Amino acid sequence: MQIKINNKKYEVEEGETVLDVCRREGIRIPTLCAFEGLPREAVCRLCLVEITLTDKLVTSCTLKVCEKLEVTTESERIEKARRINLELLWADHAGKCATCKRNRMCELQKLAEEYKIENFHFVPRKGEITSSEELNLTKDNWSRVVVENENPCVSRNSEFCVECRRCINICPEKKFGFNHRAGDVVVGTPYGEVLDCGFCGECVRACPVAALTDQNDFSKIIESLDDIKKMAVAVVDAGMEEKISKQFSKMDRREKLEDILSKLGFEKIINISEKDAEDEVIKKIKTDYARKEKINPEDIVVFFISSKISKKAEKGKYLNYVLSEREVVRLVRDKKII
Amino acid sequence: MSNTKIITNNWGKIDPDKIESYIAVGGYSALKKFIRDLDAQTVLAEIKKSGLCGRGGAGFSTGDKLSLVATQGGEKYFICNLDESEPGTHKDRSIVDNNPHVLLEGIILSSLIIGAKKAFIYINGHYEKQKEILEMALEQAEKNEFLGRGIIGSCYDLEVEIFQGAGAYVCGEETALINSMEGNRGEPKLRPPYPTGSGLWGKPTCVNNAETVSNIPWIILNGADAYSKIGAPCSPGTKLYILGGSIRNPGVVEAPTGITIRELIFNFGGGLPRGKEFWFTQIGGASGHLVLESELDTPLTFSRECPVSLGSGAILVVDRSVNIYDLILSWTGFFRRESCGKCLSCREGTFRLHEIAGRLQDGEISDRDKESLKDILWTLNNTTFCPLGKFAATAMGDAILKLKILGD
Amino acid sequence: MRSIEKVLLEFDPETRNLLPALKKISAAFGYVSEKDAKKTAEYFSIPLSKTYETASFYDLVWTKKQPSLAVQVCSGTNCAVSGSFEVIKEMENYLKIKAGDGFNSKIKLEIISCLGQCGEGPVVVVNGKIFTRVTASGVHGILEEWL
Repeated sequence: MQIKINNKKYEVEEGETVLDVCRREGIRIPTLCAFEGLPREAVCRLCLVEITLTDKLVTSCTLKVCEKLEVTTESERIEKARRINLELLWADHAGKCATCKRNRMCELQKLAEEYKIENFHFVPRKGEITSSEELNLTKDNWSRVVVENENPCVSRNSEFCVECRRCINICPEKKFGFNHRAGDVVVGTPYGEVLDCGFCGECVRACPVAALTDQNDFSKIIESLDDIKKMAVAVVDAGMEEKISKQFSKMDRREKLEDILSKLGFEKIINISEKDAEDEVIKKIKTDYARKEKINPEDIVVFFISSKISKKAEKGKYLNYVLSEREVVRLVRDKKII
Repeated sequence: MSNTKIITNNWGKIDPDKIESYIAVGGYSALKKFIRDLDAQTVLAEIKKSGLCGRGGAGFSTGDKLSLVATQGGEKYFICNLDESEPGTHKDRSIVDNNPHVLLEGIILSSLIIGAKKAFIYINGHYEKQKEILEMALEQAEKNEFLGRGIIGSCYDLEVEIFQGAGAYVCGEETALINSMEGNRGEPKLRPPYPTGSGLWGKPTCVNNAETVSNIPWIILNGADAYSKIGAPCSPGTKLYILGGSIRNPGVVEAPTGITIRELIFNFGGGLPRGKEFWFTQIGGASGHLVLESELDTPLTFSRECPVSLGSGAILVVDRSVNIYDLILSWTGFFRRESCGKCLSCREGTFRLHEIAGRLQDGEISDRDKESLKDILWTLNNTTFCPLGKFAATAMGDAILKLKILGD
Repeated sequence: MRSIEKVLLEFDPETRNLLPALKKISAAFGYVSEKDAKKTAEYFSIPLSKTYETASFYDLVWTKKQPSLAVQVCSGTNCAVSGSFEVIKEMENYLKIKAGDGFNSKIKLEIISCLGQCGEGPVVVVNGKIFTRVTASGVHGILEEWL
């Protein structure tokens, strides 16, 4: 079957959505909720396109291809819709990009730049409202924010959440829900309880913003990487090269992992394959290896570079830190090494 | 103008607690006629021919909707939508209060016509008393063999169950209503699939408003021709109008479609109380359009061409003494609470709209607020997941356009 | 007082009964506590997150312990034109709290949507008891007996 997108013909297969076709063909459509392998929720209202069948704007993520379909992906009206909706989202967002963990890796930030979103278009400026109104605003905003750093692996802050439902749909243990109603909606755990799960890390991988991030002690990590008396050892999990380069592509960067790690201050890099027992490899560093090289184990800092963020809960005698692909990129970003 | 009363005909004359009282005025004779003399096909054709359309607000052809489910095999359901939570609207509640059996007879007939063996009444979470009335009515109908196995000696079976909502405006939307019955959040579902194809528990489901359903017995007894002669040709029949606000005789009245707003306010409602000066009227609840004095002669219909959509039938008369900013806060506050929160534009749009309404009341509105207001209304009208976004923007849009609340 | 188990056993463990069950629990115990929500989730064999999602959506299911005095004022269109905002202001002054402020654990003043009693507005609900045609000057009289 053929459909027309922006007056050009494309070969498509039945069952595909317009967004699928556009992604395949390299036609840019902004999205925040659609995510590979997850049901299409059509809630972010950004992937809107025009079709000849109706004069309404339709979401391309749910629009199935059909005979004679003609789609327009760029127009003044589409631009307007995306701009207003992004601005509304931006107004509800924390807007602290400079200090944000996801800075330059954030899907919302990227869209805000692309659509030139004015900061807080919908939020009143100081002086435009009375102080009691301001107090109410602040109270109202804060009564809904949930910050949780009590679990060992995932740092949660609903202040950044864009309510895209990715974490809800991706979680194999169904830990998250879309709670309350209207402007009071909070995506999170029931009764705001501390997240307690297998920590597979899928929710952090799927989150487009900094609502769900890797739990760590970043300043200590940087400190130990910079400490010349300490030897930083990186145990790199299988498949990390690819995952990290994918993260870098979000920042339009490309570089070999080994070069990056040595620039970050790692003195020894051990690549492991899926067959290796990671715990064994890690244990040997501060024992066998330290003995052989005559290094005081206290002076070795062992990092496990892996997507298995559940390992963060197992830090101890032999393992000091676990870094995900996102955190490696964050280190690179913060240390400005490339 | 026809004075035919279809729904309110026996209000005040019969005892709503006694089925005998309804039967004495010819109640359940449509059901008897259907069972003895008619078949589903014929009745369906008759309902289509009558031109009856949905009284919940959308105005979709009832006959077509019933057909879509009737033509499908297997298990299917009929749901009577009695969620009624549009502000200023209490017509369905009045039907239950005054004549629950006409509704029940309509539900039974609708279910049998589409071949459903199970029907539900989805009733507003706040309607405790009405739920009790209906429970009693169901019991009485079953005793009289109008319900259950082998309805009045036929091979038709039907079970009717009441499902009570728990306070959420958006559940009046049929896919949200179904979500709520399935134990989910009452959020609208993506369409297609439509409920007529895949509704409650994935089965074909017909969801009809309580007022719509209550018309069915009359149509079966009196015929499609008689019905289609009442009211406006584009959407014939009578309609329950709920008169409220600055009006001498508030309450529910039945009048034909196509009636003008002026007739409703001044002939049926007795005009405004002494000393009150008419300003405007809002048609169809918080989500309805505003109508000025100059537009009062507009006939009310469900047609898409009608400049003023009838919606739920609520007519709110507003006089000059009303503080418009209070009313604006009422609209925006309502949608700020009742948006389901699922999609970005409605969740954030209704939230910001209410904030601006607050500043408007305090007289603090800035030029940037005025710009924002236009943007918010635009996105509510154009980009939301379900029609609630449009509803939230209607009255405010009209207040800017017609009442010039922001100046010219 | 009935136990949560007893309330749950009134329902077949099918998701269609989830909302009615949550409503009943909320009415019986004042709100659906985390403990009770866990039992409900277990009974219906659904995740706790789903139970909470549904519970937190509806007005008539509470997921937090309610203050001993809950005052609700309807601000639906009809009530608004008959003066419900004046009533709200008077209540705010009298109770010394702001409507919608969720920080006071003893008193709650809430603005609610239409209850369908539009002919008799403004409508006020105090701990479930409905008052109609309330005026600003009548606020004291209504609240006195509860304070």
